[in-house]
Amino acid sequence: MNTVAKKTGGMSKEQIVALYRRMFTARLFDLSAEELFSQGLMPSSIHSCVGEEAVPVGVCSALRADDYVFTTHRGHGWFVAKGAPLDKMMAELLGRRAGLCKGKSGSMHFVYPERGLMGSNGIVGAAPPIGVGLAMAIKYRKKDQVVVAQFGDGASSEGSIHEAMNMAGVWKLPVIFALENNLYAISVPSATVLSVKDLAIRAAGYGMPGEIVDGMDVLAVHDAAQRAAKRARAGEGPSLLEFKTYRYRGHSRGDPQYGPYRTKDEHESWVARDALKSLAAQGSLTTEEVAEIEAEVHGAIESAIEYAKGCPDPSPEEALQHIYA
Amino acid sequence: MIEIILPALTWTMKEARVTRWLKSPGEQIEKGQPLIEVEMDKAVVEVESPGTGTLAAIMAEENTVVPFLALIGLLATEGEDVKAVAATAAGRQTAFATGIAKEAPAEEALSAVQATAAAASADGIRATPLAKKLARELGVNLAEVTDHGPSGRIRETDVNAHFLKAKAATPPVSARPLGPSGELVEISRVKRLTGERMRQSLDVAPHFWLHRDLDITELQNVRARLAPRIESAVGSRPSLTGMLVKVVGAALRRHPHVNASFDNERLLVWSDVNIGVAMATSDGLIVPVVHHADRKSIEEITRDLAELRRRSKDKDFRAQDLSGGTFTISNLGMFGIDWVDSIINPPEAALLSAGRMVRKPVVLQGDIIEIRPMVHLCLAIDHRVLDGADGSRFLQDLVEIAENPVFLLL
Amino acid sequence: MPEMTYVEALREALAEEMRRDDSVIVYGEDVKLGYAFGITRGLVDEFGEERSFDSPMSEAAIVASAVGASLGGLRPVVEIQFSDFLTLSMDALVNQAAKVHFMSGGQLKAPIVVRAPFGAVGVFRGGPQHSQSFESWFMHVPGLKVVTPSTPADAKGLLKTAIRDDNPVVFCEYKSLYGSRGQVPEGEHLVPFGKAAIRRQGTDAMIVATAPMMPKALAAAETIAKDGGWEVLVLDLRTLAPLDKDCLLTCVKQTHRVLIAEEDCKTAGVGSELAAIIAEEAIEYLDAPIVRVAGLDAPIGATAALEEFVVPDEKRIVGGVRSLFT
Repeated sequence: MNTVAKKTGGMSKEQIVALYRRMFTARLFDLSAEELFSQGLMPSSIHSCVGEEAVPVGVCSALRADDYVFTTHRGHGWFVAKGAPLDKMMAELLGRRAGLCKGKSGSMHFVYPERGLMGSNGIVGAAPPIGVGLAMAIKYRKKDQVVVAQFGDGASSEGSIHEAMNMAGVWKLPVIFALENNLYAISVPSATVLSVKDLAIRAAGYGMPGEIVDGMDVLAVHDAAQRAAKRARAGEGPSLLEFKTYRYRGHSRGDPQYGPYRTKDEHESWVARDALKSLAAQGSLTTEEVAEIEAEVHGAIESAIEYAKGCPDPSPEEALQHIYA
Repeated sequence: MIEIILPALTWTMKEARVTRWLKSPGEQIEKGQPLIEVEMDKAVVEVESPGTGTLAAIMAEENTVVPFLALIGLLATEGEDVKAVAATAAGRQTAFATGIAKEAPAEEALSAVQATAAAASADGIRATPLAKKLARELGVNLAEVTDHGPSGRIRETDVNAHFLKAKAATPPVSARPLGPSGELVEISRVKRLTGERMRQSLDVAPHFWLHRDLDITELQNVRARLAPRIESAVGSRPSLTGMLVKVVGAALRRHPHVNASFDNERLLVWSDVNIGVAMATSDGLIVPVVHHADRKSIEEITRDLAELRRRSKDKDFRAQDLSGGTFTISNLGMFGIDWVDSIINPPEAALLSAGRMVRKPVVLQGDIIEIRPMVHLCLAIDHRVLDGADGSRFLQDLVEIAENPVFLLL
Repeated sequence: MPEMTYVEALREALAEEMRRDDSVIVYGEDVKLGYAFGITRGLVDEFGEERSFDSPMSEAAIVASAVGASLGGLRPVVEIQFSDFLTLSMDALVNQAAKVHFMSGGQLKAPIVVRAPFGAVGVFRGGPQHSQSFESWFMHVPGLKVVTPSTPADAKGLLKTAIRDDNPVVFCEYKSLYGSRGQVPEGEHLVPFGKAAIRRQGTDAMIVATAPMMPKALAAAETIAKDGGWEVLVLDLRTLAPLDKDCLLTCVKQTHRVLIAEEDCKTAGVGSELAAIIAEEAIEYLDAPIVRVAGLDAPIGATAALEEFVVPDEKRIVGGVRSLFT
């Protein structure tokens, strides 16, 4: 039951570079977003995924462009990983009309349907049952797409998650339940509120296989996701993947890095296993190669920020648009 | 020189308290190192240095409350004169408070509102909004109205009653001293309400009356020719009134603004043409309605009118029968009247009354004199809805159709 | 014109829409056999288990999955077994379905219909947790449409319109009306949203009643006509969101005396919104304060006597109309 995912080294140099670039983009995006927030430019709060990047990047690297992803308030990494345009993401964070959602959603409700990104959600645990519904439609229309429903260890206690998993299990729907266990739900340590240590074992309770995956190892994540996607496409039903990971920053901007509910030691122990560092090592990337990639990404993020800053705000009357279709 | 700005740390607050500077002026610091401790909402947060250099000036003392994005210090970078940088601080210093500004306590705000409300005392008169509106229109002073409903409120009907009483200059008839003897007779509810409505109608709507003689030769011909078929179909013969309903329906379709009501400075043009036909009953005057008269055939109108007469006799009206009217016809010919200047049935805009048929000599084309059956028509109009020209055009059209029934085929 | 029950009319609407559009699917608890109130009975025989099926007992996921399925191009009509259980679906309705279109800046739509039996009285005396009607909760959420048919003809016509609407619709059926019979027009019969129906003409006063109160309102109007000689207009709003405000206000201006009749608790019910609208926009036409005849502010007990004490009847409406003339 509790299988630990094996690492695959079967990737090409280009693939490794692409993974690194994606992860670094996700990290820099969220760090830049935090800075913009500090400068008072962001209308609403943001939830950084710095430290957890291997999970979205690893999972999305195993998906097709026409597969679907539902994510959470901590979802920017998934958007970067699945190929949403950075400039429109930035514009949406700054509340501009040219943003992904015309400035209406802000950080927590990004969508990009062109790449199957069907919604981040501000209600913890709400998206997975919606993802299950989309999987129903896929099965009804006899297509072979896959739906990734991502949520966290905190969300795993919401009733909606259990309803979603039961429904997906009994109807054998093509869903990958991607559980990012970063050990804390805002300030609450998971150990104090979860009835089991490893959430993957709950999969058995819902008629699907469960796996624990090292969320700091993007290759392991990719491998597990690929197997789960294959299962789903073959009509064998859903899977639960529990990614053990850690968020470096506070819950949201305004939450200090690790006090008062985390220790510096714990923090540093995870940083030592940083996904970017470990990929560079596994893929034998030289310091020059890394610097080149990072410089490129810096450039891309900066131009996204420039673009976003130059975009106009929505007009106030747009507050009344799109209430009804 | 690098400005040290207090970053926007959270979106739920707008300011924070600087609690501790971790470096003193003159000390070196690197970018990213913790420089200041700041307290928000009982949590202490570290703010990192924005650059590498020497701390030149502290512009927010410990234990002051600083709004986000305010300038709180200056860093001198490598090669700069620290004292010179520090000197520029003086001109840019903001005074920060030591406490967070308090809002006026909620209780104070509430009592202020209550005081104002008490001061604006009620004038003690209770009347419904409609009654107030009517009182304004009629020029009635509500303070003088003594009638009211069981609830104590002055209602529309009370204002009307007061208005009637006020208009009657004479004291109550029964109070006349040394007058002829008599007895008090009850008036039926229908008569009483009709009286009130007619008074209100005359006083609220500025009436004027247009008159015209109608040659009913052709109308009678058509009526006679249709009678056998209609009688066998619906059991009664078409009446002159029924023919008039048909003609008026057609005329109203061509003059939709006559089929309207005055509503608070605008015209409500009704889309349905529902013609009421005044009928006398033992209880008084009632006006049952032929709905959609413009869309009905003479046969259907005849049937409807016969049924309405029967219901009137049997006192068996349905709700729809007595409501929804947009125009009224009153035919007093059967009572031997030449003509009548009727009072409009509110809230309609006009009323057509007809008198008795009188055979009169009329001068036709070529100065030929013939005896023709004539009926005198009077069109009462609410001048707020139609003026003389509009009303005349309508009446003229109506007469033209009535005298040339073939136009009903258009 | 054929005559049928409210239940049969709903079933016909579902079958016709499922024939017309294969993206319409129907599911919920006991839907396959139609075991609850029978509306979905027989659909599985014509359309198969792929399109008419049972779901697990998961009200939150039933509605949330409907949202997801609609994002995938389907038009799901889901059934929640009792209106009272919609409390378990509130996030999916309020934070998800109602806001998908807005939050995506107009890129996504959630064309779902959520049907449930509302209200007290009737064959099934359910007690406090099976008798409620909180339509006002849903009226309060921008993005939701709220539909309340009172006759079989409207049940059919409004359900068909709801299924074709691109917005999430809360379709309120009423247990007390399930067995009522009425004529239903043949052929493609669609009733538009936002158009009220004047069920009875009158100029002396008006009753605007929520759907389950319509039969009582009409009976009360007849009683008043016979006894008091007053003609009372009876207005059926048909849909609460969108609301036919124009018709409501026109009737107020015509009658001057308004009684609002609703079945559920008076406080913060549908009537409060209607009364506020009338007071804001037609106060000068009122010849009496607005009267609300509504359920008492109490849960509905499980016996007939308790239910009848709390839920308003024809007598209370008649009394209310009389007070409009005082």
